[in-house]
Amino acid sequence: MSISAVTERETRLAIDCYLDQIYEQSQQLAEELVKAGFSPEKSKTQLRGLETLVNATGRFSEIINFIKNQAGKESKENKWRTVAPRMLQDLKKLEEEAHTIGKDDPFLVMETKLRLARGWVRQVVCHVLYERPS
Amino acid sequence: MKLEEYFASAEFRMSRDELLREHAIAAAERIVREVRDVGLKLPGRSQLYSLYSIAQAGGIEGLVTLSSRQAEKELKKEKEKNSDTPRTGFWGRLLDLLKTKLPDHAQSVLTGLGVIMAFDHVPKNEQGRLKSLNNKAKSDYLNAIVSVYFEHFTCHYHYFIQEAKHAGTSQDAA
Repeated sequence: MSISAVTERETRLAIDCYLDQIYEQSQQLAEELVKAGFSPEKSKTQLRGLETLVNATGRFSEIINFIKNQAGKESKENKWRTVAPRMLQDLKKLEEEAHTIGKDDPFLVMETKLRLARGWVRQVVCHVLYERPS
Repeated sequence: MKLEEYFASAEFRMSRDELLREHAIAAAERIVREVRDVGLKLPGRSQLYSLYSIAQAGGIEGLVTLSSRQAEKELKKEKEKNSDTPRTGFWGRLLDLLKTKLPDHAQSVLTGLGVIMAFDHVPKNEQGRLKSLNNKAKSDYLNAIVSVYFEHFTCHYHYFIQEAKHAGTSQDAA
């Protein structure tokens, strides 16, 4: 199954509009990440790791599971634990939006979820790398 | 719908991504709560890792074998301490998930898809054949979902335990 040209244009537009809408929220999340200790100097590899996973995966829940797995580690200073609830909440909203855009077409919903997640992670990681801890 | 067609479909991808995630999250939280409620310890991270790798390598049968062995040990230990009313721990509850709750979920999904058929209206001499076809479909379905299911289960298990621990409600989490 593939997305028809018209549906593809509409979907792309809906995804871009939604990503524009959440841009500020993604910046806030990036600031929370910086506050939690994710800095361009110390955490670039971890953040790029998340970005690579989001870009490479074919399953949205793998992103959720990656974050839960990081936050579920037992170390005392686990910075993922601080930001995981907010990240998971953002991902939940992306999933809901994908259902709104994709309606009852499971293929379109799955593809939209991943495209939204790729846009979201780009917004967040770019802003963390741009931010400097105050 | 044939099972192979379903496995290749977007519906199946979505079900693994959403429906199974919800099922696995609910199961992980329920087991953690129940084990805590009876006052037993939960297994730690390294023990849980084996679940995911065994699910990938040995499928549902591999997991049942591991959990049965662990549940037996768990029960033996518990009987030594508490012979009158031995408590069911993590592995016993996981075994129940594998032998009852997951097959029930498979039954409901496959009945909905029309893959599993009721055989009460079928002639007696055909019932055995139909039953084994149904069992094979269930086993194929469970093997197709088990590694993703236990990815959801173990990731949420660790997250849930750490979240509760740092919210000050957990004392155990090995």
